[in-house]
Amino acid sequence: MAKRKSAKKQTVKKSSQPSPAKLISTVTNDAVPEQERVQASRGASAAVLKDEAYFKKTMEVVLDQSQPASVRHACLQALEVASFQTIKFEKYRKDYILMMRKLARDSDPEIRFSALNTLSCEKDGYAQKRLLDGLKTPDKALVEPEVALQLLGNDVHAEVYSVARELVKKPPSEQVKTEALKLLAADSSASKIFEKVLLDKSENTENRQVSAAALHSIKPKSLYKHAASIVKDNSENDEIQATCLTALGNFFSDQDVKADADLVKGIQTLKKKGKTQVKKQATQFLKKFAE
Amino acid sequence: MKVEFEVNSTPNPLGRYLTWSPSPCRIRVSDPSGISGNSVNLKISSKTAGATGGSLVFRKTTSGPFSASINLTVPKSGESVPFQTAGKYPQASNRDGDVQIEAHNGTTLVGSVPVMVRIRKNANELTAEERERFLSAFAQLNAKGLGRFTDFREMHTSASRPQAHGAAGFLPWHRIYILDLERELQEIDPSVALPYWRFDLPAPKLFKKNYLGEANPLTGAVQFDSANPLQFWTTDGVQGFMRRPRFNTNTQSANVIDETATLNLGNDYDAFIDMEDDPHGYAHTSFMGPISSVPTAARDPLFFLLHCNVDRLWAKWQRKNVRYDYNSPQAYSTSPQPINHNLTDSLWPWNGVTGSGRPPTAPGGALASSLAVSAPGPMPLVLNTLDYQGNLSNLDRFGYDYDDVEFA
Repeated sequence: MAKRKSAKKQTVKKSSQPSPAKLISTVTNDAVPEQERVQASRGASAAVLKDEAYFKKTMEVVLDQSQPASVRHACLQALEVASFQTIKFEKYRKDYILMMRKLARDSDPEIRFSALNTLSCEKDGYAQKRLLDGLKTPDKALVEPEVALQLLGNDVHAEVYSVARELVKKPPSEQVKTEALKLLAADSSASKIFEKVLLDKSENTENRQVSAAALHSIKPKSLYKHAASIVKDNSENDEIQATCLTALGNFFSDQDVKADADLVKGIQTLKKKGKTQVKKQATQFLKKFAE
Repeated sequence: MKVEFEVNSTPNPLGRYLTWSPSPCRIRVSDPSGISGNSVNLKISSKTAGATGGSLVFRKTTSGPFSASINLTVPKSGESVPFQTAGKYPQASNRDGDVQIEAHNGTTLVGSVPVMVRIRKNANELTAEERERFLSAFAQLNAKGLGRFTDFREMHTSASRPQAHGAAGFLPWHRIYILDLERELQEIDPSVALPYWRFDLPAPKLFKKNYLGEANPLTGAVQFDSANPLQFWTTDGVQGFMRRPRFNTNTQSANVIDETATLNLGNDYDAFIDMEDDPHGYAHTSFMGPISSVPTAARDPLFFLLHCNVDRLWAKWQRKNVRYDYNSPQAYSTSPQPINHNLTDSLWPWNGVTGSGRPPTAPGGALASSLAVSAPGPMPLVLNTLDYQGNLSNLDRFGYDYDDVEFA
């Protein structure tokens, strides 16, 4: 490889912007109009990486609950952006996580959500415990249970499964049940739960769809059997029939499907008698497999 | 008389995928009946199916201008004659085989081969058919969060953070990462090209239930309609994911600097790489959910379209400033870099190396291959990633292009 020369200084580089010191000074100055501080925070994501003092000052703004919400949110996002610069940010990571743990109890719900999101993505044990505590004891909840379940989905383990199973049995709301079902998607011992929900016509459609997807993961033969039965059942609702057709059309071998004359016949009937959406899908399915 | 074609140096139909970069072709007489003399004059041209669809240009040699047709003298003996073809910018195909290379002897068609000008497009502008094919391939690749997709998930975690972020190799690493994924999608459906999320413009079609999903306004849980195979998307053993926007996905873009500002970050690489911060970092954090954090971003299918746009911005910058030669100090950083970020480093995980500054595992094995091109090879180096279009050497082209980045 030819030896590369060092880069010459370019006379035209970045568009002119304030220095990091100026940006941080603007962001942290209470006397500056809010909108201007928010605008300056865009530069904070790069500035904090240049000097630890800038990082600390930006963190202070985020942690200060007396600051305007828009400025706190903008500074928080700037720090989240800075965290993508892995190598330079590494020296700040411990303080960043500690800051997020404090923000997990903040009075601003957006900031709590954002902090818990970051912590759960980092598989932070502190956040996981707080989220689980909130599910077991609603008075301790930092976020709504359906949100807590989603956040716990970033690092699922045994204790999360047992809480999710309880919430499927006794859900405080349909949304909670849906999110609990999603969490159990890899738990092979939950296949009976998913079969029961999928086949229950009185069950919420979204829960039935989630159950179909879960069976696809843990017991695909069962999904095939039930999906084939659902598409042939004239009393079934359109949406669940459409979900089953989607599964059959995308995830099972062409050979198996084509050979299932009974299934193909059922879908031909659906093509004639179904409502618009499922009729369209049945048409596409038959075009792919049977015509 | 009949003739047959070879496209991209292979008779295999899986090689018949073109971009804006020139592709080597050959033509030979396969049935000489009716030919008097030792050779035959043929006109090579293209024919597009329908009003939209791919279009091609041709040239006889490996240099010089392209034209809509060329005339070749082809031996009766069956010996092949080379020529080159390329997609006629900006006319990309909408479906497989929607454009044909044709050979005429006078007015008689004596041979043709269907090809596709397969181009990465703006995700918000795909046809319904393109969208459905992409979603189907993507959902099949996800394969319940198991199989080959797991490798892509495992390549982008906490442990691998330093390999791909925060230094010069950020762009090269992600270029190879999404190329690997795209080639795996093409194993499922060869007509699919990875689309890009143009995050500096509103993309209202993208964030809908029939596409990459619509977030529940209260919980951020992404919902799909019942015909969308992404409803089965599973990662880390969990079905579905959260993606709560910090902007109005129907009317606004993500809160990022726009394309012009990005391309004007500077005309040397050390300045341009600041784009990792803005727009890249701001695009990621324009949502709350797995996509907002490096260890979990690959849980969300949008992540791959986000990085397709990041790569497109690099490609545009390269074209604007002519930065394909790794020997040029403006084309890549000249300062010492951490491992996996230096020009002569082989890229983890495709190099299979673990330990000694690399993560403890190397998921996925070698980079997926393509029948259409040979580059960058199974274990690419950082320096292999710059000439992705084959501007300096046609052999170095990667087999992809963007709908708005012409061949230089």
